[in-house]
Amino acid sequence: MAQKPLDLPAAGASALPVAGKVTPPLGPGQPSTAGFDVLTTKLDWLAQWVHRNSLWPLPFGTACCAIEFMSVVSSHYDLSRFGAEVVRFSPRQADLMIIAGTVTDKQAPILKKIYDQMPEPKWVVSMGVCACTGGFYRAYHVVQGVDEIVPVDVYVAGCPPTPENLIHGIMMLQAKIKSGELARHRESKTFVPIRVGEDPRPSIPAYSQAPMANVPGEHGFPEMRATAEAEAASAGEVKK
Amino acid sequence: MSAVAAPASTVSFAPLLAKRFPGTVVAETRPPADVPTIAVTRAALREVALFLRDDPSTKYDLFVDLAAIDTSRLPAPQAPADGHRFQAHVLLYSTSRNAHLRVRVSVPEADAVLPTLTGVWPAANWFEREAWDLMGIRFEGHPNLQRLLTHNGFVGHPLRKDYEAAQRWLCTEEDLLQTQLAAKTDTPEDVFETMTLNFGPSHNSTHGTLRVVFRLDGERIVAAESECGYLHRCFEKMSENHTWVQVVPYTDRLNYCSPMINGFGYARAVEQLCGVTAPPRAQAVRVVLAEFSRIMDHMVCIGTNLVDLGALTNFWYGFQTREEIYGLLEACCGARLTSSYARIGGLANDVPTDFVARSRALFPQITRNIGEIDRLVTKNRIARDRMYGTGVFKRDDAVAWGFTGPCGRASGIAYDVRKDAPYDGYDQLDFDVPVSSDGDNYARYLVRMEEMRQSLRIIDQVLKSFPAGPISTDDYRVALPPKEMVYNEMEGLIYHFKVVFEGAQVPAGEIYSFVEGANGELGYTLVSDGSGLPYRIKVRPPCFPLFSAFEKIAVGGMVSDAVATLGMLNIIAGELDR
Amino acid sequence: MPARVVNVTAAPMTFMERLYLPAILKGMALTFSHFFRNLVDIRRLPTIQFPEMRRVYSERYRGRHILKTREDGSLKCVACYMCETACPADCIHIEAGEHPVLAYEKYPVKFEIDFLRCVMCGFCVDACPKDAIWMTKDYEMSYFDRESAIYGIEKLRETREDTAAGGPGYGYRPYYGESPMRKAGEFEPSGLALLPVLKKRAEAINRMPPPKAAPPAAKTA
Repeated sequence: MAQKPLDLPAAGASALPVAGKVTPPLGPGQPSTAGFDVLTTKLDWLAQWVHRNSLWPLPFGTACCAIEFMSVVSSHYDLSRFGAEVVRFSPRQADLMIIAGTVTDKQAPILKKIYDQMPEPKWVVSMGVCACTGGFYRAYHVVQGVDEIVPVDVYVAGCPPTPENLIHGIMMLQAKIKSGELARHRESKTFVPIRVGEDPRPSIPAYSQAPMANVPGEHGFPEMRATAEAEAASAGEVKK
Repeated sequence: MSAVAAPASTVSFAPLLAKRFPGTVVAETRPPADVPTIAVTRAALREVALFLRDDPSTKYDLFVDLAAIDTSRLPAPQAPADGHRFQAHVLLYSTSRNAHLRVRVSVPEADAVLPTLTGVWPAANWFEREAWDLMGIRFEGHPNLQRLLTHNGFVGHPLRKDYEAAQRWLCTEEDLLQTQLAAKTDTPEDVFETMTLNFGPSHNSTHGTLRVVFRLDGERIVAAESECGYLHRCFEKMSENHTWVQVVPYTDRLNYCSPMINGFGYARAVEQLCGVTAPPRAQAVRVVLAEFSRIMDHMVCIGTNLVDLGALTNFWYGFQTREEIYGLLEACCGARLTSSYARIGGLANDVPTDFVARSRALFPQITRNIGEIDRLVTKNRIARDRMYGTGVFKRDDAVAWGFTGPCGRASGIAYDVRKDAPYDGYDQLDFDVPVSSDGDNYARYLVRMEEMRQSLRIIDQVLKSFPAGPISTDDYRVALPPKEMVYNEMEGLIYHFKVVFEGAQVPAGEIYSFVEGANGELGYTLVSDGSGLPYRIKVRPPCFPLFSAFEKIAVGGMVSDAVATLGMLNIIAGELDR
Repeated sequence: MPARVVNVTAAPMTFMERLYLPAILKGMALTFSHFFRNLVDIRRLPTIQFPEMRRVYSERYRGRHILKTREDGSLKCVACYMCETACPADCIHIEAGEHPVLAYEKYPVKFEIDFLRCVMCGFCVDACPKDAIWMTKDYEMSYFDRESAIYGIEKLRETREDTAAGGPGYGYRPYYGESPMRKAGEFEPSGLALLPVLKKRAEAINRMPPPKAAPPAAKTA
């Protein structure tokens, strides 16, 4: 079936900067460097080509989506056709983190740590609805979307997404890389909760309200801390 | 393996108990589908437990489950007579007598303490930690009563009825497991001689989010401490605010390598509570798809474990089998992995007209793949040296730690729910159950390979005599009526509305129902208050006792053996943490 | 049936097994035979070359939802909220409005599905009393941001492209049981309509006789 055209700005639309105009170095569709040199833009093109055709995935697999990811790297769908065969579980050696599966609150610091350990340029694909929004687990231990913790480039929907859907998501990521947006210039997204219709659930203090970087200081929200102190006082000595 | 009759609903040794424990133990009568139950007071619990384990006429040597229930929102006729808030259901099994038993203890809220049973059955260790974590019942004398499934920054006990389901707590890195491994070594000098190695939870050899911290002397493990909960997705709390049928997609995500078995086990438990039976065609389809799911699960287990040992090819061959089976599952229900096919009283919709032919078409491919893996691995000296004699866990230990399923059978516990408490027509089928006495990884591998062949036998027999008929019960209080009835008849529309809006009309009551999951006995404790929403669902995950024993199995071996053992135990984090 | 137990305890290794090489050579013979056979006959390769090749899913595949329309173009949906109630993920949000035509009574002013919450269970299709929501075989749902995953009526409404040749086609739909509608062919259970490259393999498999049961090990009762 005809694929719907991806709504990205045309690649190379502003490949050469206009003389006398300062091109901002940030944002999609803009060249990553403000160089006026044809050589630099050609190197950029080469770098983008290399990056998108040899992504080394880090499968941060937690749950069922990890099994579908295993199907993707297996012979029926074969991610190595896209150059992404080299699956590296060490973050130092990978550049694409595929978060496959539910991330719980207990797993969240580990996800942040692994993400921080990846060198630039790096991309994040959030695979499956549990990783994108928490899925149908509106629960006390599930992170409602990994973009509370790490910036996400592509959200792949499905529960679990079929292998073709994941490959489609990775192709979209390749198109995004081709459009010239380098990871280091990307703003880390802070998730703003979307209210679809009338959501009667109480607002949950989420990571999104905390700063992205590991800023030392307050790690509690005032209302939570008060409850925690009250609980600790009433529960006695066994709090752990 | 004993060929004793199916479990009875009354306690056969009740007179003995009345004589030995006058006044403190009461035998209860339960509906025939439920397990026999005795009610015990708190003070007598430990003594009764020792009696039950050791006395020759009871011999309950296998600890199955500990389900904690908060009765504060039960309606008046069902609420406990003594007014205590919590109940703990201890489920036991006797391997020699093939009998289950439930021991019910009630616990008041003001003094929510129970004596620990870890001295009686080591398997109770983690079950009690979970009851403390999620329900807030303290266990006196427990060696390590810490949170297990939620993180250390968590405040409150989430499965209590007054806990808001969506209330989260922030977890920082300091809240993750800080081990007390130093205390577990023999001499203080070990602190300098040994090294602490963290293994997981983001590691390619921990299959899923498992974490173990090893203390190593060179390459040898001298102490280990394992931790789970990194995939605690609150299945039990989610099931309390969804209707009975809406829980079915959640059950798919429990053991996600063989999702259909979870769904069918749950549907069967609810059917038993309702007094509804699935029609024969639905039962036959359930058997066929459950056995295919079992083959899928074993393929993943063997494939991924051998990847850890360095043998990648079996992974591709195993996944080829999986893809073929996915084609069949997708033709039946519409999704490859998370099927949501089970419904109360049968299945969602009928199988396609070419189901039998399509299932048979899978046989050559699966047989070929099993043969290929066999050729590559079974006689291969490298695989054998890695797996033979490593991760040894003999029968006595395995029973004490609650092992069931392929790992239990590899240790010599000849217990298979399909043979010992048959359901869905398994008693009419002719198949063997592989058992080994070695208890090492190689035995677990051999047991799984043979089980896959036996599953093909089962499927073949069912396909030969595949019944026709309806696929779902006609009791429309629990099942959706067919669409033509909904579109054309007023009654059908009303039933449809009631089932969707209010939930299935499951009568009030309790039940423990179990099936043979791919990893062992998969049990569901259901408590219903008569409304359309479950009051409490407790899942007995078969790999929970397996992983809790991993600390013990790994000690004394090398790190590479621990990796092989962890793979062969087949710990599925979705089931472990729920 | 009496329980039959098969003992699979491993026997000690024979001399030939203790030598590494025979088993390794046998294994390599197996993998190399796969390699050369696949090289010679490309149809043996199981790889589905997405996006050029696509796997044909069954008529029950649970993909993207569509809202069906009547002949006059209005949605069949009467905003009864059954799908919203049946959804375990709370991903459907409907706002009802009064329809000017009395026979239709209500219609959805807003009908949104958040595909980043949807678990593709099909309960909404099962719950609908008006045959108004079906699912297609379209699975390509990847987005760059969360907002674009929320589909409103315009994106969910059934279009001609969904059923055109080359389009995704209908997937999961309400189950009719033994009704005449099923016999007329409107509800077609899975076809074995595989891709040409796999169809020949399927035909070859179907010609094979069913497997013999495994020889029983120990005939002790």
